[in-house]
Amino acid sequence: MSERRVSNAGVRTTDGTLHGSWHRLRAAVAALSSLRKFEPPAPRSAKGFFTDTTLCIGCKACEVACKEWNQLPSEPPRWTGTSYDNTGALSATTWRHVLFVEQIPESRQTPRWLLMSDVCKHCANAPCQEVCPTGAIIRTEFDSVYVQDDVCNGCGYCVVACPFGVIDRSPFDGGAHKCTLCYDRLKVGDEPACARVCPTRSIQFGDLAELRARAEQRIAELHARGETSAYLYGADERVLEGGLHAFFLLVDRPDVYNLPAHPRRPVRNARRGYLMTAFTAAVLMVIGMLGFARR
Amino acid sequence: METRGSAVNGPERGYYGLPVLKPPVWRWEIWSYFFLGGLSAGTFLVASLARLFGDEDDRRASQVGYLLSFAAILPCPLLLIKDLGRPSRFLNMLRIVKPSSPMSMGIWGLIAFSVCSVLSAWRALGTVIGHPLPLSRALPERLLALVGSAAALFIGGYTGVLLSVTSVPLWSRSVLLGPTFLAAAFSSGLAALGLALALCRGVPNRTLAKLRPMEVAALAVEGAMLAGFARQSDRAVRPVVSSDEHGRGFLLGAVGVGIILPLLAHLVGPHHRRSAALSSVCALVGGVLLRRVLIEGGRASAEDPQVTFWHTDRPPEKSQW
Repeated sequence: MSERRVSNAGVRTTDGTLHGSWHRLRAAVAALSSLRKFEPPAPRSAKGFFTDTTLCIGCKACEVACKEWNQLPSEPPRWTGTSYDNTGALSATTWRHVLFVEQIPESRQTPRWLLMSDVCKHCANAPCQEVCPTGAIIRTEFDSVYVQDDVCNGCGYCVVACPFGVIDRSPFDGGAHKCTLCYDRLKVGDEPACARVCPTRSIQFGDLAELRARAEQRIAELHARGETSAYLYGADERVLEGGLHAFFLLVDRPDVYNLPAHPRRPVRNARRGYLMTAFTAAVLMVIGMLGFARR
Repeated sequence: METRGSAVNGPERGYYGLPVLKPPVWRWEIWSYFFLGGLSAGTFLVASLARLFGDEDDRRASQVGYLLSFAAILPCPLLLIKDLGRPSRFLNMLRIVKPSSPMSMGIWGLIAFSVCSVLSAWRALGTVIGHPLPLSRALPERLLALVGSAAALFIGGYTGVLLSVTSVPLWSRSVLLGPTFLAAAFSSGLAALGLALALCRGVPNRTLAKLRPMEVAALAVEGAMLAGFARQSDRAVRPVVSSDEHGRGFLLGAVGVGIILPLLAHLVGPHHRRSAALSSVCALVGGVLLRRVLIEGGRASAEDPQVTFWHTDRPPEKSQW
């Protein structure tokens, strides 16, 4: 499969060249459109994902559907030698990633696999959105986190801000890309491609409040059946001070699924950082004043 | 219930050693900008302090300072634009002002500072070449120095705050990266001006003599902030102090050549122009290495899942004053 550009901005004729001054003018006007302020659509009820990892069978239909719907290029497989996971991680061109965790104890009597479909968490307080300097990353009317590809200039700040290692800058087109919660499908009333194809309904899409209620019920059900290690990751306000709109049901420690136990919100470091810098500034200025005022 | 590990072999945390975070995409353009921006801010500060608080000799030195500041800021926008994934869209940085983003505030601060630096250099050039250039008489020198200094203080320190507002453990564990960069910027400014004055034969020794105790104090503050940063970062600072490529650069270069050597030279070394010039060069080289090692160390920090888990083991403290 050829590597097609994810971005589609710009005015081009079918053979890819710009003809004549009229088209050049149109191109200039189109380029300026990223500066125009659009009226945002009226907010709708917040949507999200509830990924119940106890139902995942590791079929990777979600990965395939996501790639197909969003026309993302395939990547060479990452043969780790330790896992059935040959995708490895989320990236600028992989927006769903299935993890395979083999847990085989010493006695080899009770092996189990943990399977999870990882995705952008669409954080309520998304660090990527909080640091983006161009305003490319916005919250949509569905309260998802979305990168406006025609605005992003590839500064790379979101890449180091994300505490889950989700978003990345693409080496193909220089922009930052991640799961869009299938914004285009939501606009026409459909659900994201991954949720649509998941054969076990491990990936569930819907109104956030309803998903949370459903998740609580599922936890109660699992506890009643003896799986007392089941818990929700990201469903409540504890994670990043607002929760995740794409939350998970896990049965082991977060690090087993390569998730941080208590992710920190980067902007929380700003105030102390600025204050300490201001204090240092005062000290340095006093040094300078005394130094030059000497006769 | 039997104990389970995350892999067949052993209880190591995490998922088959794969990183949790994405490595930074920033390369030499960014640590070069950190150094040059800091140098420009530092020389501007020294020049303004000389202009506002110094005597007539110091004011002559401040003209040199403003010209140095301008020379240092010239490549900076080009470096930042080149670093972008889509450089042609650099103007998109000006779509918004976002206080929660140090990069957004930094772009606006850089514009404000650049204007002050250019205007001050324009005025200084007129003084240096003997007759004032067009419109330079109309420029309010003291106001420019004051406003520009405020912008310079921001430019010198915001880059450290920018790094700490990330999820990279090396950069975000401590809150002292901003102060460290600002102190480094100030000591670089003193070093650069000292070097320029030492090389100009016509300038009297008095201004150079005044710079010396300021450099000692600035280097001491820089050393203290850097030590505090290393201490606060705890385990996260290992990529830059362990004995591999990054470690050598950090310990020998940034600390040894950049801070300790100039400090010793000023305190116990002979007080003449050549040694002043040499210690200035050392301080400047150390400044470059400091930024480079911290940026490249960030990549190693992000790619180590064990440090990420250690860094996020406990919820952050509630007291976020």
